[in-house]
Amino acid sequence: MRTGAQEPPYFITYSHHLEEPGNLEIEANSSFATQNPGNNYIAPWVEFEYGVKTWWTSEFYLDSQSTFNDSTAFTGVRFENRFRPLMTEHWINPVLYVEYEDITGADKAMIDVVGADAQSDYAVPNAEAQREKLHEVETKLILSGDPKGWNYSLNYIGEENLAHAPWEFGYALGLSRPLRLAVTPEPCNFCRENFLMGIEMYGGLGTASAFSLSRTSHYLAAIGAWQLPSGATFRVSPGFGLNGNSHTFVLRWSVSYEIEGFGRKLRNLF
Amino acid sequence: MPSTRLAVRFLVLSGLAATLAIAQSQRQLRIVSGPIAKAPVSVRNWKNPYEQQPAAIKAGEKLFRQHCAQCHGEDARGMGKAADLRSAPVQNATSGELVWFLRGGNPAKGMPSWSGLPLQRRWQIVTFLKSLPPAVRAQELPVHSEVTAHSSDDAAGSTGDSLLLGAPNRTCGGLVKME
Repeated sequence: MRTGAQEPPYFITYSHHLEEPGNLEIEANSSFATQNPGNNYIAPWVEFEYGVKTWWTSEFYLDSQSTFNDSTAFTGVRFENRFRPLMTEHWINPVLYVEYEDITGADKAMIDVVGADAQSDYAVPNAEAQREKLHEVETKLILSGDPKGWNYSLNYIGEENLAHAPWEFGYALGLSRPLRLAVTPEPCNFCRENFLMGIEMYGGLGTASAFSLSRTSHYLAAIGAWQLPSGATFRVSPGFGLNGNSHTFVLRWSVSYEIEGFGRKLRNLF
Repeated sequence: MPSTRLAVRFLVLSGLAATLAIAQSQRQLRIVSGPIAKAPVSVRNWKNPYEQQPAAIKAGEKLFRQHCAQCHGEDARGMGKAADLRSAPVQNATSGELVWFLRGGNPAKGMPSWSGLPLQRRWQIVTFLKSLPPAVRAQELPVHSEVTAHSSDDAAGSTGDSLLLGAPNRTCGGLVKME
């Protein structure tokens, strides 16, 4: 048996639930987005999420994208850490997030939206966008709770390009719930208890010099997840842009697998 | 006499080993007693909606294998840093205290918070834990007073678990051990 994840099904929003210590989750994600002007694209990325401690989770990303009628490109790496400062559970629980990104201007994973990020930023041809190197630090304040079987999560995002530019800000909000709160006694794959549904909303909040909703983009997405007892999880999320600066349609999907006791198994090799 | 010296050495080593074992058990019991002793008074008498229901025990076992067995072992007797869930501190705690403890865990000592599991699932896990046979009674040790001060009466009143005063039967006798 595998350890069942208890994470909510969000793609963009983080909750206060961290990876169980010693477990490694490998996740293959993709985003498809319509692009106007320009060409639609698919941006696949792979995540490796490891529970270092009960209060500390590390994650490593490999990003890529393929733009229709253009090219396919590897667009960089991300390394993030999440820390839980409080060791007790409250109705709302903070988690601190720090990420370093070494990506190019062609990165289209759109794992978060900050500042005045807009659809037009993604219209630049890959050859040109790949020349722009971005070294960024992203921080998040994650606030989350689990009342009555629901999870609600609020993220406040601050991102700084280390080379230039002021801080850019963004937000993500999520709400989710399993379709059934108690589990059935028999093993099953298609029981309602294995399915989670939710919604999330995310967007930019401008920059340190222009903190406003002007020229920002915003999205609303539905999320569905199917958690198999074997440790695999499938997720899908159709999302829609809420204003003219946003992509009209964004479809995300992922498959993940959790390896229980990965750290212990690794240590046993040596 | 060589045989006398050997006997003395054997006795000393045996005594030392027994003392260390008792000290370890007592330390684990104190570690266990900490989080549960902090449970608000109100949670002690929370009624388990699934108490002793066979379907809930089976569902709880399924959840236990998905979420808990990795650390606590398939037989719940503890493994590595994780506790023996048949031990007195667990079995003497009320169902309300256990479901409350599962929500917050003890992250500082390695026990994750399980607040992401809906309350109904935590009750199912507790129902399964309360159905487990107790730890080995032949090695019963006196239980630290702070462990049982509040829990044994509650347990006796609700589930009769005050009989389950077996000591942890392996090194991971607490809910979590010190790292």
